[in-house]
Amino acid sequence: MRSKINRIKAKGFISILDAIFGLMALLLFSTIIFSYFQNLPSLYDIFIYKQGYDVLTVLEYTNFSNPTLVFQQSSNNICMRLEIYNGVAGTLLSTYYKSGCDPSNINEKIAWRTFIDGNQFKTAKLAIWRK
Amino acid sequence: MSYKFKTRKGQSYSIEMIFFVTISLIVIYSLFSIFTTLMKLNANEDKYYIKTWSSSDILVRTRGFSPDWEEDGNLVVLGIANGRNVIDPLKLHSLSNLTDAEISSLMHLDIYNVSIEVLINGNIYFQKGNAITNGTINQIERICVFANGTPCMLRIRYSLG
Repeated sequence: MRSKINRIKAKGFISILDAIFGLMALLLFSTIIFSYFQNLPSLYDIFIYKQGYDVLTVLEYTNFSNPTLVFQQSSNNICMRLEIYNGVAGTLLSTYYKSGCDPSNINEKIAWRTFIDGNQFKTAKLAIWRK
Repeated sequence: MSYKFKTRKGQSYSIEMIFFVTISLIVIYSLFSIFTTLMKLNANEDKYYIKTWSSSDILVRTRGFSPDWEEDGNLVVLGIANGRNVIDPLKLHSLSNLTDAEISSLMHLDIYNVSIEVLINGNIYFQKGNAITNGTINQIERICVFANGTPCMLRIRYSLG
């Protein structure tokens, strides 16, 4: 009789363990699903790219003649780094930084624009991020 | 005797399973509700930012409609550019003739007070509108350029009246 009670108790214990494992699995999968949704492109990502393309459009209009002056007109909470390459990402010709900003950032977004400077084909790479 | 005992065990497992499934459903529903509530809160906050950004796109990238509204006075869509991000000074100054309510309405931001500013080197070159300064003001800043190559910044501010 005592061994029968022990068997029942043991089965109860195993059932509770099952329930705990089940709950843990549920929480784990829920966390994975929700974190996936949260990792979808944010509004911040979308608008930072739009800001970048705006800057490239103005730079292109001014023929990339004075990037520093263009950077000064941009929003205070935006930082940028412009790299000019020969051809398509060939030799790095020059780099420009917005004053008051770090040279790079882990969250920087990249936008590219090709243009003609005189008789040379060049590529501009703009790294942009929020301060 | 032993048969009855087994039947009771099976019953207790079924009850346990139903209990567990119910708890699981409650937990899933709660987590989903919290998540959707947070998403809705974000979406409401973002709604007018997106709307204002879209209006600023039309403003800074198009001539508006009619394309020569500053001359013919037929203004349906507000645009002050004559190229992508290239500000047309004539259209900009014609903006001064519009009322603040007209500007809000044309930008589809009727419930907000809207102001439009153009800055050159941080100095205000043009200003029109009535975004108040003692409440919460949201703003969007877009880089722009004049036809002569002078870079500028278009700032749109909006606030609840």
